[in-house]
Amino acid sequence: MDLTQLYLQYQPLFIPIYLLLVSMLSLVISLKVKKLYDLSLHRGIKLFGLAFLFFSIAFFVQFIFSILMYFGYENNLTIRLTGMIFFNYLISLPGFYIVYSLVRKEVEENCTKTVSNLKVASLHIIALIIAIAGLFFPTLSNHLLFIPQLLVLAYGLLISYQNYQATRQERKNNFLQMYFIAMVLWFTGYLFNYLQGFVTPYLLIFPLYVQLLTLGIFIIFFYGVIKVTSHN
Amino acid sequence: MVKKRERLEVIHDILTAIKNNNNDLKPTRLLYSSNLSPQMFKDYVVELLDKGFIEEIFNEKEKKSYALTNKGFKFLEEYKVIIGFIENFGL
Repeated sequence: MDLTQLYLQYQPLFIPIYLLLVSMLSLVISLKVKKLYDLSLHRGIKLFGLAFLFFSIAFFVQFIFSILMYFGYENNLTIRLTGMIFFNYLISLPGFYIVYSLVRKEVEENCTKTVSNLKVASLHIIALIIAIAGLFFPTLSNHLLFIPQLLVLAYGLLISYQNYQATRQERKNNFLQMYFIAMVLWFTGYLFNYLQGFVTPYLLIFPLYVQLLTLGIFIIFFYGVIKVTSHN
Repeated sequence: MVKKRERLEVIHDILTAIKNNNNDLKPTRLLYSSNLSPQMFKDYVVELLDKGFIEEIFNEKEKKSYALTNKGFKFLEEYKVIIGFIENFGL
């Protein structure tokens, strides 16, 4: 039996495990970061932690839906639509939050707390618009979800590269190189997710590559957070 | 030009000054140690009291001084981790 057949045979079992694993990794990251935020009250730390909390909830919602589908509830329209809006909203937020955490210092310089909060609230409004627009334009749903994310992540990629280059010149040994690699993988992962609908009919195993890539991204961030927050 | 201290660095300096004085430092001496303007010093002290990093204590002559709480000590313990996190994740 080749890998494609094996994957297709065990897909109903593999996908919920994958979703739960990613959700748990994200949850551990967000809890570790929350501990630092409680002490420091640093907004950048808060945004970073919230990004992974949204990831955790989004993947958990998908996990629940994969279970519902397993038991044959996939034809219930209300469940499907509610799930789609909720998931698209939640999955749009982490990219916005991560990139905002990278530019926060410049964006929020000389801003009052209210203005800063309004800027963050606007990210939620954009995510909600993306999620609801997908409902009204179902044929464009994929483009509406992924194109803004790819643009935002491309910008985040550029900033993380600049951060990495800056510390490379200072010869500091830190996680910024891995962070940049994680951002490259994140961007690639979203690009693959975007292309999944077009590629999968020709390459049935393509979703497995996307899932393994996604898992890789979360393992890198998990490793980084554990490493940096450990005392010794 | 002297680099402006970040918020966390100022908090660290205030808490360290209190800790290094047997965890009991009078407001005037703390103001000198903090290198802040009186208004900024007041803002920081109010914030640190609000967030539970320091507490006010009064001696037998009813003179006020500041002491670290457990949370304040915890902040000093974790300070390097917090700064490391901010640097490592470009925050």
